[in-house]
Amino acid sequence: MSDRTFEIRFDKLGNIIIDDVELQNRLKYLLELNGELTLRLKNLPRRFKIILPPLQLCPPRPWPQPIPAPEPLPPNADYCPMTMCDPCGKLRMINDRAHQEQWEGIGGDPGKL
Amino acid sequence: MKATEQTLVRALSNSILHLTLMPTEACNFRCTYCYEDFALGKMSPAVVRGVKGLIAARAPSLDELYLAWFGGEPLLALDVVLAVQEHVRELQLAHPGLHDHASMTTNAWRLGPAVFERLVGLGVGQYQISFDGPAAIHDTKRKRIDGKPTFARIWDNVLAMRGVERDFNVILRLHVDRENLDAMFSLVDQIHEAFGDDPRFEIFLKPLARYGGPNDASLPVLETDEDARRLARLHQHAHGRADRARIRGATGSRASTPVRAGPVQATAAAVDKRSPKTCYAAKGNSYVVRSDGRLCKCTVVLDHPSNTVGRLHEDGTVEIDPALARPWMRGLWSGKAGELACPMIGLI
Repeated sequence: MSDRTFEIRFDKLGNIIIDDVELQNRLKYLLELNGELTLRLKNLPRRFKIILPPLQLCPPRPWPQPIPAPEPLPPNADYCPMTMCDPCGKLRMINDRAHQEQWEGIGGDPGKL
Repeated sequence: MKATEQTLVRALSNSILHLTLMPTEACNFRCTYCYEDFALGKMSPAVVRGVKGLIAARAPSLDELYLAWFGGEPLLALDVVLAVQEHVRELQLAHPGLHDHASMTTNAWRLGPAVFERLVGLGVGQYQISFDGPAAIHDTKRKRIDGKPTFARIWDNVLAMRGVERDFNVILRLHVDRENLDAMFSLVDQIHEAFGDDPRFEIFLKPLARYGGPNDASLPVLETDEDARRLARLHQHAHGRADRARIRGATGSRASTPVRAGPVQATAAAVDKRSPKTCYAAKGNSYVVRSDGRLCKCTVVLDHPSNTVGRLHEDGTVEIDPALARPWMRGLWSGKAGELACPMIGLI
């Protein structure tokens, strides 16, 4: 274990999103060690999901602020459904699922605008 | 896998969700040591919809759902409890892999046989019910809002549970302080006579503690070495009386270290040695849902600014500020027993 604090976030359903590569690897190792798919230890979850963030998000916004509703995609949405973050100018994802579906649908690269 | 590693995996698993639900923050009791302010009332329909929506949205990917009904007195909002539990039952039909475990901390004033059987039937299988001593002492500490006594009705309701032939568990929590410690021997005997042959009932000896209530300064908490020795004698007495009854409680130390001694606790003791005690507040997949929809981590420091880490919306989505939630989880990274057992200490 470590004294440092690992970077994690939460999605809109409270699922834990682990940004920290060290922690991701540690959990993967622990699960592989025990055979994630055939885990038989009674007190361990049968499924353990690690949600990997597809993109670097903005720094946390000032709290509390309501999460803005997903902005409608333009009619010619042949690009990544992201927008610019007003305060910092970095890319901000509007909606994870919409983002994934959009890019799976058109075969684009979610890492590029 | 080492115990701390298992704790880490379980506390960060998205297939597990712990929700401590406060269907109302009102209470019909005014216990002398209570730390709550009762400022918030019943959970609004919008928040109830949010709770149900969140559980429904998570259900397909959940293996374990833990609902802990808390308050206030949760049975003052029985309709909320029933609505959510019925919703969970419906979800289980659609998602057989979802295993739910529901518990309730209640003063049992309204836990008559009909209500109890209905709750057990909906999966609320574990109950924690407190006594502050034999009737004469209990009624001076654990009073109704109008000051009237409560022991007799609570005791009758708990007695009636014995006749329900269902699988459930009742933890009888005995608050021990300097004033009632000697009298607790007779209450332990009374409980033993009534429930000693029923393994569904357990005794939990809990030293009274100061949790921030208005009477904290005058609470007769156990403080001295002599108090600790007296508590140890009570503990020994409880074990001595309980051939088959299950005893939880503190040792002779002043700390409320849980002890699971005795043959019936052998299995639990083996588990506990492997896994450090981890408070729900230290887990990444555990939240307290207050009656106004705020998401918190701890049920003791309810209104401390550090405790509110997010909000539940009517559509079942949540906002959680990671910068506020992470400090509560620091024990997962450090592996330090104290930070896992009570992350509140040192944080606020």
